[in-house]
Amino acid sequence: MTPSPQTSIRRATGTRATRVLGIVTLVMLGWLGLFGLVLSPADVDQGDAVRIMYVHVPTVWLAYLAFIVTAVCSALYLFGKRHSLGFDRVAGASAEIGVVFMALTLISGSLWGRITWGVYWQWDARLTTTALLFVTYIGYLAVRGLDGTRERRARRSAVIGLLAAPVASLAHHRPR
Amino acid sequence: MSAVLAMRDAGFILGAYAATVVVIGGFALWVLRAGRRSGELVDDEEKYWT
Repeated sequence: MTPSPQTSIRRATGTRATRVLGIVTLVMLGWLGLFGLVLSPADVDQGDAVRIMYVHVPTVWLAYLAFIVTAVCSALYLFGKRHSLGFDRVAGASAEIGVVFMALTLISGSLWGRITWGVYWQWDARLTTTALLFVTYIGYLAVRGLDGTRERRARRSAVIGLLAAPVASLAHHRPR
Repeated sequence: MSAVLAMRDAGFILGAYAATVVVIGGFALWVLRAGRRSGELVDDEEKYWT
């Protein structure tokens, strides 16, 4: 049954541009699978394990980008003249994206580690700081769910969003 | 397809790709459902995105 125009409007969630972006994303995900699993050759050193890097590296960079957006929007909320709640909402949405992609980073990284090192996890500086970053932003999202007025929640979330940024920097510039 | 399944450690590699697709797809569906719920709270005339 075809939905009525009113139903379509009531249920619509995106613009024409975001729908096109969604379709492009699906096509690119298909291309990623084709390139990563079929077309690209195995690496000389890593063998087929390198194929995991084609999903692992983009997910970690996207997570970093999302956390940077969270920090910037937190600063704009805290130090801006209008204390716009729009910045707070973007910060929260961006942190959700960052946590999802950081989870993917940890999953794909542990699968790569199982092939390369023989174990899923090692408590070295690189993995530990990445796990700490993941848990930090889960905490940030938990704080966003606490009671209080919108302004109070936005203020304390912005403070934590700013304090969490150095953890992201630590995870990226960890000792190698 | 057989070449993909025949590669070394195929289970771990395909698992990483499957996890990526499933998690991103699940997150996208969650966002769409949350957006629809929020959209129902807004008057149709104010939906600048439609």
